[in-house]
Amino acid sequence: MARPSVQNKRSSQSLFTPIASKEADLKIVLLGESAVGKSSLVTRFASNAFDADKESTIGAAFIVKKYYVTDPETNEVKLINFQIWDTAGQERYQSLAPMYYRNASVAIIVFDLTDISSLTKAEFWIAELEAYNREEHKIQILLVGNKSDLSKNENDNQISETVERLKVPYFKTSAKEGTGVDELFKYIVDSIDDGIFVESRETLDLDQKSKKSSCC
Amino acid sequence: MTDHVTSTAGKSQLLYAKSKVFLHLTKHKTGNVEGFLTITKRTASTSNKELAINFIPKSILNSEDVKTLEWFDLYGLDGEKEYSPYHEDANQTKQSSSNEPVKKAYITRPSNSSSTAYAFGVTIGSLYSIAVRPPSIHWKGSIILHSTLGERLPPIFFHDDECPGFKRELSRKRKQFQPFSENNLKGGEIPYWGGDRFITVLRKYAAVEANPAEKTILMINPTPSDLSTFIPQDAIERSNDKTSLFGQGKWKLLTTMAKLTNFTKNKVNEVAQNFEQPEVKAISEDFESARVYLAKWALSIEEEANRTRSKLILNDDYKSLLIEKLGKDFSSLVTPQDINNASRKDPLKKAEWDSYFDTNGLPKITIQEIKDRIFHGGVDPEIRPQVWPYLLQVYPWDVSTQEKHSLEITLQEQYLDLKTCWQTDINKRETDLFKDQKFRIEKDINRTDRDISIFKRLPEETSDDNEDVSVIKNPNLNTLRTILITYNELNANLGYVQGMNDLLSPLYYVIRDETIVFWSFVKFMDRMERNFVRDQSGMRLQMKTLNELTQFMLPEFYLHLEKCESNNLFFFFRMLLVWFKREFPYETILKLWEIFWTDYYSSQFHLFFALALLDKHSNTIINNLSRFDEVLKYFNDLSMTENDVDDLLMRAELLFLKFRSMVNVIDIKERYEGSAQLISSDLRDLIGTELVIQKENEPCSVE
Ligand SMILES: Nc1nc2c(ncn2[C@@H]2O[C@H](COP(=O)(O)OP(=O)(O)O)[C@@H](O)[C@H]2O)c(=O)[nH]1
Ligand SMILES: [Mg+2]
Repeated sequence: MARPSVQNKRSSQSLFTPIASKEADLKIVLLGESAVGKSSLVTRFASNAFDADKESTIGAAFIVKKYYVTDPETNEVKLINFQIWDTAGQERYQSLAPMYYRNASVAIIVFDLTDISSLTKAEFWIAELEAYNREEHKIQILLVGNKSDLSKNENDNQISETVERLKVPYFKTSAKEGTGVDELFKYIVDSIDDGIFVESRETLDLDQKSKKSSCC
Repeated sequence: MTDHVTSTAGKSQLLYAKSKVFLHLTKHKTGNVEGFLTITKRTASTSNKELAINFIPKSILNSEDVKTLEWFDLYGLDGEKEYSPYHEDANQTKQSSSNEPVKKAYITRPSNSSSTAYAFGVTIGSLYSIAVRPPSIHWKGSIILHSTLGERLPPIFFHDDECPGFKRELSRKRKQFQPFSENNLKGGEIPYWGGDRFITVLRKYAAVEANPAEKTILMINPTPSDLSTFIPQDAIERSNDKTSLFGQGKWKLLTTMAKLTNFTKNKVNEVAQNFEQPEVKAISEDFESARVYLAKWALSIEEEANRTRSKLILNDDYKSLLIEKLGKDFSSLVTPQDINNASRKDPLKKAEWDSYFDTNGLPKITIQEIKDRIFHGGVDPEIRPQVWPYLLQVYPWDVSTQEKHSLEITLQEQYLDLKTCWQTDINKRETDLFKDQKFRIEKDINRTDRDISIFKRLPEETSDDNEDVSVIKNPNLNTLRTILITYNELNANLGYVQGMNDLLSPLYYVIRDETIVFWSFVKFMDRMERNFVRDQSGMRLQMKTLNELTQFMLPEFYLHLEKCESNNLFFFFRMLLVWFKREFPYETILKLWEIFWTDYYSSQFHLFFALALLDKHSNTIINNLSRFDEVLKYFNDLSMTENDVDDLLMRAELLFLKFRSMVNVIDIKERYEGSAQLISSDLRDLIGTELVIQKENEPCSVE
């Protein structure tokens, strides 16, 4: 069977399931005050949907998403297995957060553009993760201001001041309308270290299947 | 080498030494007496019972001994690579942690008499018990030695934050990723602290057993009668006739009536006071903060699992015993009658329910019979509003119609009082804590069961209303908010925690009467509070118990989960936290919960239900899944139906019966052989029908 063309296909929403030659697992954790839109961002990314009535997260939720990218130069298809831990907002459960970020490569710290107190909470998380990184860990930290659709830029001065001071990559998103979400995850994908890719199980499976069919 | 090390004349060998231990004689630091805690051996032929435990004030020691003790605290038990004055061959001593001295070191023989200022000591043989108080953020860890001679000795406090030896031990333990205390004092894990090593070392020389009734009292070389006549402290406090209890056994030791030593006589009151009102101390940097402590949660569950595993995954001896007693595959465990009994029945209907009560409203059949009926069939939706307040014990089962009526009036008044209290208190409403908690509740209320008819968005509500969460237009959600804020005030220590909204919503959906909903929720929370306490110990214990239960009941599956690194059963956190609410359709949850509330077989039947879930999916998982993320996703994505609930309840019941029989058979064998207990108390507690209640002790603060 001919390999389906996957050129320019950046997401698994493609009609074909491409066969990747290399793959990597990427662990992501989302942290931030309750109700800033962490779960909504994950839903937007994983299933391109938004549900205004979704219940609050308790404990934590685990989402996996297969994400295919094609290297524009080599045409090589790579698979990224996103493993996303979406945590709960309240301190009571956030004390469990280290369990989730312990093995994460990327931490997305989310705040609500219309609720300035949630930015303070985000700063707290960044400080905590930076402290953790000082113990020879390397979690990539990203800051996300969500609900851009509601924002009337009322807090912009304070936000840009904080972002400048924190020196972490900053993204504005609306999980509701989908704006900025692609950029966020594209940035994450682009900064993946090539070294973590291994030969894809998909190709291995394929090899095995073809072997089987040839023998029978 | 100095001959200090080799000469033993007038000297004792150190087996243990800890620096920076203190007597707190007054509430002020100035009243602290700094010293060393030691275990020493007089001569080579000294028996274990003759080993001396001493508190030696630093002030009476010569500088040579101080140096030796400080060295021993740092390197005496764990070895040292670098040069030290008491080192013969740096290459030979390696870093160990055997609790055996790596080097022989000697100090001037401490006196066992208490005549010198504040020094005291007992031999292991005359040590009766030790009261242990591990540190918290409010106080330092301490121990009190109780001697059989009836001396009352002061608590010895461990100032871990000042103690180099402790810091070294802690960093070693952290490296080995074993940050917990080695001596399980509360039935739950506590972070490593200074006194822990002392107990561990003591165990080498004496049998140290936690008193079954009071885990923080360690009995030294106890006789069986010591363990059984030992009455916990609070039993004494509860008793009206204190003196009669004091006469029993060695209990007089623990009372202030006991004989006082010379030096403590005039200080003892202050000391006692000090012990009861620990100074509030800021969190020391050197302590594992609660956050880090919890981070190691999952890991510790796994570690613990590994420890119990060899025991609980039954060896061939136990297997053949069980087969002999209970038939191959334990088939006779569950008889056709059991199966018949375990089958699901129709829900309890109104006529049948009414027939259970006489004209005065008093039950005509036993409560257990009513519970049996509800356990096996659930309740028809029509009568749920009547039945639930009984199941939740808002009304006692034997309340007459008349009494019930007056009870309702009282409940109404009380609820109204509680509610108006926060509604009218302007000052309270302005506090950060109140505003914080209210905001939290409102954010969650806006996202509570919106797919259920009565909680739906009203036509005039747009989804953009979430700009201001305090505007709650749906009147039913508005009532939920009032109830949660009132509960937040009533149980102020615990406060509102996310997930409580999930527990409240079905109660409101069924009962509707605001007052009765509120009190039903209060009662429900009594049993669920353990899920929400700040240090997560209640959840942790349940996860651990479920883990042990799985090892014991589904050993093969457990081994597979272990291979998938999933044996911490992490995916059960949410299921246990809100009793499967997010996993089943709403109507099904109503049925499941009313069945759990009966406590028919066990007050923790939800753990058997969880076990049934594992059991049901074990084959699929064993055959198809091999990775942590796959297993996690599998359980996260389970979407289950009413049929699943019936099937799982039946499995859970049979698993319970099987569990109970297995425990019985093993108990009989062990009683006969007098061997160690295979079944942990946490597992055994699963057979109990008494509610397991754990309250939050520390006050809620702005988070
Ligand atoms: N208008 C708007 N609302 C959002 C957006 N993202 C989330 N929300 C809403 O904010 C609330 C909390 O969202 P959720 O994803 O559960 O937040 P989490 O607690 O951080 O996971 C929900 O009512 C969402 O519908 C957004 O981008 N725009
Ligand atoms: Mg969420």
